[in-house]
Amino acid sequence: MIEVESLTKSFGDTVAVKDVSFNVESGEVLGLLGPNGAGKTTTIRMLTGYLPPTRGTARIVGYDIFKDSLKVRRQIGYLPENVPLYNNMSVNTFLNFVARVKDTEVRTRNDQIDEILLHCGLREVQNKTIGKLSKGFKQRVGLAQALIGNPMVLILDEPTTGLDPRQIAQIRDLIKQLASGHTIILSTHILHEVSMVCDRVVIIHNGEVVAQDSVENLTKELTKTQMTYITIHGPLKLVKESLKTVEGVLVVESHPGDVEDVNNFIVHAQLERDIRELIAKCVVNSGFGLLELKSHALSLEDIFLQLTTKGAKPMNLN
Amino acid sequence: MKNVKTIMDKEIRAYFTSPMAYTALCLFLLISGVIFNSNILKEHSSEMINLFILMIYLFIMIIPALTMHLFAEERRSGTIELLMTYPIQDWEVVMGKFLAGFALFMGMLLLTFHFPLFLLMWGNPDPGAILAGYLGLILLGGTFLSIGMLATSSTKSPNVAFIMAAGVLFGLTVIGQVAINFAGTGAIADFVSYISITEHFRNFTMGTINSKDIVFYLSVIFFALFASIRLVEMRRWKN
Repeated sequence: MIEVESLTKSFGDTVAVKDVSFNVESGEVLGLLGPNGAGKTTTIRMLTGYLPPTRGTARIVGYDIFKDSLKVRRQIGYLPENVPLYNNMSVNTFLNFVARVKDTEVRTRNDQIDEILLHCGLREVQNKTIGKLSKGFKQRVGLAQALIGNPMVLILDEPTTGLDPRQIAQIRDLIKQLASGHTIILSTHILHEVSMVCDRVVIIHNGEVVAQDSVENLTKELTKTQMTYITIHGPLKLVKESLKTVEGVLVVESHPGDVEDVNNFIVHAQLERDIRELIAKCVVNSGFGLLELKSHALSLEDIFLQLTTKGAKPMNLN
Repeated sequence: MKNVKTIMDKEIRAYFTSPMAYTALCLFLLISGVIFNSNILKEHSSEMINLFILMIYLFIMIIPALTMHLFAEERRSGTIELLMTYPIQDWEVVMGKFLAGFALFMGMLLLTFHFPLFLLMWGNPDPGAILAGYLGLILLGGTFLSIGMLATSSTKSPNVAFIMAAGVLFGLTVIGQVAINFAGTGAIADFVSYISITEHFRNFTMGTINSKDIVFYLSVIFFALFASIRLVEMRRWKN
């Protein structure tokens, strides 16, 4: 559905996006993840025809983004970052204007707008001036204009930025509903969002793709050990020594706690083993106090930080 | 063409949802009414030339006020990103916006039609000169609007667009007079008076429709709109 091939954009001497390549299958929701300033918006602006690429190409529904820009734009619904809208227009007037620009069928135009208003929860404010709406409603108007003309591809640039938690949940639900009928590219710097709505993730850092895979696979790939997080009451050195004797343990990391003789440990063990029971037994047998024990899964945050922190070491095991 | 109309409708609607169009319209009608009253009715003259000349000076301020927002505001607020990613071509956007300004301008002129009507009923005017004068005003207004478009296409600040357009229009309007004062006659003076917008207008007020003058106005309009389209396209590249 979308094929991006070594897309590059430089502004003068600064290279904002460098050789970015990825594919999006039909019906997929792809998360474009990266810290602020990573090049997400520039990538998206090239895909939507707002900026021409310096090098490289992309095809959307088979059309070249540069040579067939108009055809590409007909297949895309785009929600730009910060949701620019015509604040003097009413919601209805604006959506009608968009429908005319997108050249939708005149006979069914009003029905389509009605349906979108309902879907986006905009019925109650349809006659209000956009400038007077709350941020959450504005975001929905932004989504609504993207949906007009029933485009095959939706490109949403940071659709939940600046909303309160309840509004974020609503917009995410809306996006999840849309996922059934559209191919979606969604950019975000919120990792949680990716794991909630996206099938696959492309991580961009400093304008380059540093990883792309399903969230599940990324986690698996970067998790080389099974980690257990433990808090124990007992002298640090002694506890550490006895933990090392447990079968299957590779490394024991120790972090002194705030209270005397209460220490935190992260125990790395071979992937396929669950050693929690063995650890508990060992601690009790040695006469220490076991305060907390839980398995520690590598979160998307950890992966993200690993991939995007300059000079970061891969998970250290020694 | 459909898209041009869509953009045009959007801009005309925008004019009337802000106080700008009303203010410009009222000011224009008020001042030209006062001048018509003092200059023509009181002096028992049936000529509209003085009123026409005054209108030109009003247009120097009013037309940039009508064009200043057209592109600069879209850039300032970011809506340009929506507009440029809808399936619509840059030239359609420029033409739609220009025609919206032109329609408003024509409406403004239309509201001054009671002036010649008064003259026809109670005076002894030369209808040919008045009609030619209005034709000249239409061409001149189109020229002013196209230069306003050029200004608003080149910046993201509506205020800068206003000042640029008003400055250029004022320069082009007075340059003919300046040439006569300083250079007298000769090649330079001829050239300067040729590029003076008002010099071309003079013939119309005397009732002569000269193809040379029409060509002048139409070429300025064409050039300015063409350059505006180019500017909008270029801004995509630089951004």
